[in-house]
Amino acid sequence: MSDSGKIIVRQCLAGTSLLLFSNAVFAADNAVEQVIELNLNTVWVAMAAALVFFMQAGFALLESGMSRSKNAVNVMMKNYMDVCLGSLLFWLVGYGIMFGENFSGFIGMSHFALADAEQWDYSLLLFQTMFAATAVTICSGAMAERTKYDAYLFAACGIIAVIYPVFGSWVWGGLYGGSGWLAELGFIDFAGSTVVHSIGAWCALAGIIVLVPRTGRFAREDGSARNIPGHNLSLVALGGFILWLGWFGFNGGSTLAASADIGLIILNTQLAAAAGAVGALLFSRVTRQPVLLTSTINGSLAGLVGVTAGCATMTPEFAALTGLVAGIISVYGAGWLERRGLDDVVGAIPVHGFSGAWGTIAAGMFMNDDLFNTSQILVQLVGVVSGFLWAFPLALLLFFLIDRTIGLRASTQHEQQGLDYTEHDEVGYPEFNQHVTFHKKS
Amino acid sequence: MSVERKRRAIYTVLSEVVEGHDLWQVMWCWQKGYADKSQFELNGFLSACSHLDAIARNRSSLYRKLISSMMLAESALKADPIADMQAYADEVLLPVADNTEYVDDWSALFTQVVTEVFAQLRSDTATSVSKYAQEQAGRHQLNAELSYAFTLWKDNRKPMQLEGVPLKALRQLLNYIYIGLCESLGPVDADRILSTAVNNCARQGDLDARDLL
Repeated sequence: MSDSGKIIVRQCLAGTSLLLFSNAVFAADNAVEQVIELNLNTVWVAMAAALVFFMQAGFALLESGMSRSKNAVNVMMKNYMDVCLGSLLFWLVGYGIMFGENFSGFIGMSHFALADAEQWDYSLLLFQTMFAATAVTICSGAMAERTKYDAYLFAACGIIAVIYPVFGSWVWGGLYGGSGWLAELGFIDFAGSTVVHSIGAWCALAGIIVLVPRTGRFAREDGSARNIPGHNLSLVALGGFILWLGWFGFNGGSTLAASADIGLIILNTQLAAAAGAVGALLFSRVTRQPVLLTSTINGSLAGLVGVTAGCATMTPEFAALTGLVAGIISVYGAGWLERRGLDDVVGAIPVHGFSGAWGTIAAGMFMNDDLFNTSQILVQLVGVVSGFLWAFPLALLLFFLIDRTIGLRASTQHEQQGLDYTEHDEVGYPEFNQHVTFHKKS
Repeated sequence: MSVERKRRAIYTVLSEVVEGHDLWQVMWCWQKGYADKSQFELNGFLSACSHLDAIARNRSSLYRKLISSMMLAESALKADPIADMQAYADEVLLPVADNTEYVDDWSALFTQVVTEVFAQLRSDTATSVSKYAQEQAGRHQLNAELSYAFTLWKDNRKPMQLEGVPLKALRQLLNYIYIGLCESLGPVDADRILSTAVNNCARQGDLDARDLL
């Protein structure tokens, strides 16, 4: 070979080597980026899961504070076991039903008792477990002060294992193949206004119907409601704050990624919560009702529930509007239930049910760059109604069956003595009990 | 019209058509479920006793006679059969459940607690609460002796004689009174009234009013 030929070959070889080395470096960079991205996402989702877990403490404090002191422990115990049972059952069956392969569009059929899975699957399971616990704990507040503990736990199992995940599969399902039918329609529920909150609320509605009101809650002569104040409004306020904080993880974590859009999502969450409280206050003033702490905090919670569906697809002004209207709905809804002789101890149904429905519809109304799209609004309505038609009758049947078998409601004697003593043999405030409602021989 | 007079009227009519075990059964049925109701509810009473041929066959004439007997002069009525009813109840109706519950005599303390409860009520509220408690006692077939003693206390404030009445039955009656309070005043006031009454009652020997809760 001539000298010039050798130079050309050497140059070609050098160029090829450089090219191959660059591709390898590029591929290595890409893989590192992916690992970094996965790690960051996992850290964010795990932190968000911790925040959502902390919401359970918020629910426990809020619900306990709104109950009488003789039932404080019972309410806390229900909230505590919700997350314990929820964690186990959701891992066993719920996750598979909700996120497993869903080729029918109605139910997932894989990934039960998750083990030997991808690392990201565990992160997702962790995060969604907290959502499941949130859904079921909505019931505990509405049904407080007259529900047998064991009966409640049975119902909680049914909600976590079947009612919640089946509907969830319609909206968020098919992670491992297929898709839920509502998702196919284009239904939007970013973090679960309907999937989590409304489903929980419709189950609670069924529960309070089967239970009937607390003894003496409504006057026999004219059905007028009698006030049964909670024993500790400071707990209610603290619970409200904790729930608000936890919601940053609830909504922000639903990105499932440590991405830049978390900022807008959490800002929308904050604005909706603030506007919800303002909405509750304004409505109370306009209707000449006292501005109660419980109503105001429930207004915030309603705002949070309302914005949950559309926090990722709304601009801030619409997030605030959604929250404002949700706050109004929560106060009006509480009165509406009362006028119908339905006893919801903490206002869970107007906050999570009515406001959840509103927020889901609002998500369709206020989509960024596509405001008031009637097709989308219609799809949102279909989703809201489907959620009610699925959860309410099924929960009604569940509670009815429990009532017929082991009994759902505590006896009037136990109601008088307080469920802390009758269900748990404990007293929430042994040194500060105002009234003697039972006697325990030492 | 007092319960005693009504009972004599009922007994005067029914003793003409039924006797023995059947007679005391229907008398207790009336005592527990209808003693405090108006005479217009006697149809319901006769319906409840229609498993007895003598009553089923003569139901409409018995109903007319019962109504009329309520208007008879006292001298036309037979003597109060309560003693015989009690004797029958002691022999047949009252099962011997938990012997230990028969040891303590709660008569004085229970009367005191109930008196303390009703002392905190307006007269109209007291009437509706006591009526409610009595209805529930009849509906759930509460201990007959206790039901009767409460009736006497309610009508005449006679101290209740409760020897041998199980503590469980006393708690049940107090719970009916509590439910009556809840229905009339709401659970917050009901808790307060019951708690105040129990706290105001001193211990009597080994008996603690709080054990009635």
